[in-house]
Amino acid sequence: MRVAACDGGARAEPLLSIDRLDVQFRLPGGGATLKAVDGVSFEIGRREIFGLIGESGSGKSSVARAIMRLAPIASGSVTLAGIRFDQLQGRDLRRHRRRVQMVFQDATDSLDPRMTIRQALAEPLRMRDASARDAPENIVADLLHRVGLDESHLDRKPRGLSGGQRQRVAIARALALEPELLVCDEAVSALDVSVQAGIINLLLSLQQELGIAVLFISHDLGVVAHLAERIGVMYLGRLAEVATAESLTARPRHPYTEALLAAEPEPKPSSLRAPRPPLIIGDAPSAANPPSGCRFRTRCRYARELCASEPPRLRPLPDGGLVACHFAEELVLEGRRA
Amino acid sequence: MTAKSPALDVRGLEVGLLTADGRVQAVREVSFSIGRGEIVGLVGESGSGKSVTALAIMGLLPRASSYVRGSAVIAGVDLLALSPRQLARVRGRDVGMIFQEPMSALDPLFRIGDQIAETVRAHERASWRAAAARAVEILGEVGIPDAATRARAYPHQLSGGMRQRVMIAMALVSAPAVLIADEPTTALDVTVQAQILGLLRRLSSDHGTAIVLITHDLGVAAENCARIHTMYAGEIVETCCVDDALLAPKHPYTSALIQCIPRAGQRRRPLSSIPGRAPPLAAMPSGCRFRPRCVHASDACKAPQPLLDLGDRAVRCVRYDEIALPGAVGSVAP
Repeated sequence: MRVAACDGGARAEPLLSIDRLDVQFRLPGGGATLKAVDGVSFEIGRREIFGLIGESGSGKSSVARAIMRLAPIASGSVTLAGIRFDQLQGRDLRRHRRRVQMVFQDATDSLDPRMTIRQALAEPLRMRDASARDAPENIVADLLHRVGLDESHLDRKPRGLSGGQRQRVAIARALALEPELLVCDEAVSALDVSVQAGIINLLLSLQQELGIAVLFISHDLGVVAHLAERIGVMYLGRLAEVATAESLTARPRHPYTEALLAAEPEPKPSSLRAPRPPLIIGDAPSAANPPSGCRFRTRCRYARELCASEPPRLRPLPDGGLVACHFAEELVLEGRRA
Repeated sequence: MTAKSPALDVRGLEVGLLTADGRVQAVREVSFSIGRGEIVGLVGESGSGKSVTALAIMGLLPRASSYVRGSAVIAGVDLLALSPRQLARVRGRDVGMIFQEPMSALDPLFRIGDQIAETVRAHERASWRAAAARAVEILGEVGIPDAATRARAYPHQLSGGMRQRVMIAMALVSAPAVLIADEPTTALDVTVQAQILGLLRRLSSDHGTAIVLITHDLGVAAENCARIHTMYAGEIVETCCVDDALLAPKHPYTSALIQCIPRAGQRRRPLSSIPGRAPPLAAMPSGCRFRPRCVHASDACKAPQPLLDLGDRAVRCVRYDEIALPGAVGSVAP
């Protein structure tokens, strides 16, 4: 099955296309495997910000790592601008790898503590152009300005920067390779809200001014809904729903999305909040031993017999979204008030 | 104790820490009180002093490298005036604390039921059998299914949400009047967070537990607290009921913090952020500590700023009645 794009209209070739992706890890001791990602398909258009949301164990980071070739792909494909990215080897891989760059949650872990910011930025520039012995100063300066830093930061080491500034350096490093796709895995999650806002603005400007596409992975629905045009919701390795940010938050079609929206605390005065009891009870089952049929059924308040026997496929809905729920047509789910 | 007297009354709390930069003041002039059955929020970003405030009240700061002044009174007893030995008796019995990371409070080598039973026996004369029964009972109360079996589990056998419940059970088993919850749900998934916060609200309303909820998340504060104290750079900058803070903040920092949060209806538009960064403890600006980052700063802000009592709220800003600040709902408040 090929999943249709859900913008309702004709669509140019996507920048990134993930088709029936499986990622498996072997569990320590014994031959058991954990299917972290199970048959996930979605596309990201050029210049699109696509959000991927889910709780711990949902497999969202494994999707990112599989795209980056950092996690083993058991089956399925990752196609970038027409190239089977998952099958690249050796020289071809080196040549194309720069086209997708990743930003992690904590830049302290991805920046070498002994390198100055100048060195940290020069390193990817040398990879881009092996003939250049020194990175041209003006390119380094451009990169810094692009992410909202300036030359005064050049000779500092990561330790001498704030968390937000380090994250900006990590983004600048990613940009140095002129990627077409930026994969951000919880890239603002460790930051204070006042700092987080600045990074969100930076990502928006990168998309608007440089035309970069972004895969933005986060557990924070508020942040994802602000940034992304379309959002995929993952639960225990599978996509539960894909829709535009507007329709996903206003009119969720999957019970899990509804529960996520209900659980997200809203910084609004009581007059504007509709307090609701939590819609799901208990913790998510282990991804190593997922329930039969629909994986959400053990926590779903609408679950019926069919949900235990038949895994729902991700299928298109008339309004353009995709949902993996047998009863999406008849359920009336509550979204968030604007 | 009369019905009127607060469950916890903190007055003039000052905390100094010895750091690599020398002696720095981490918390200054912090006063608040909380009544029976109330949930009060301490809200702020990292470095605002909210956790240090909690640790100081609990007497958990290292004595050799910190000093604490002021008072924190529970049931007529000033915690800050107690010896370590006296404090050990009060902690757990009169005031409990829960943390972001439950493994910091749980011993990986002991079954959770035994750990809770031990807490019971530390505070009351109870047989092991009675204490173990009490442990099972409280585990059930905090929403752990099949508590009798789970009591025999080790911490690593439980999920994050379940461990958090165990820590809450341990903090509450002696029915303390006051519970200090320091980012109790920050490490949890949002669906589990909703359940844990619901549990805290129920404890507060059913047992009258007074809860100090420390959080960086204004959404969590909005949905759970009656009043909030917004902290910045070691000081309380604004105190009011949570709806007032969100609808009509009077301190520029509270307002700026609200504006940083993504809001539905403003999708994909640039968010406002706060320029610069919080000052390091060793180099606090004179006067208003938010002044270097405040768009409303004027000469008057260079003078020391007292917390101005406005009746039902308090604000540490000399310009509060001259400036109109936006809240969480679109336009600038009247």
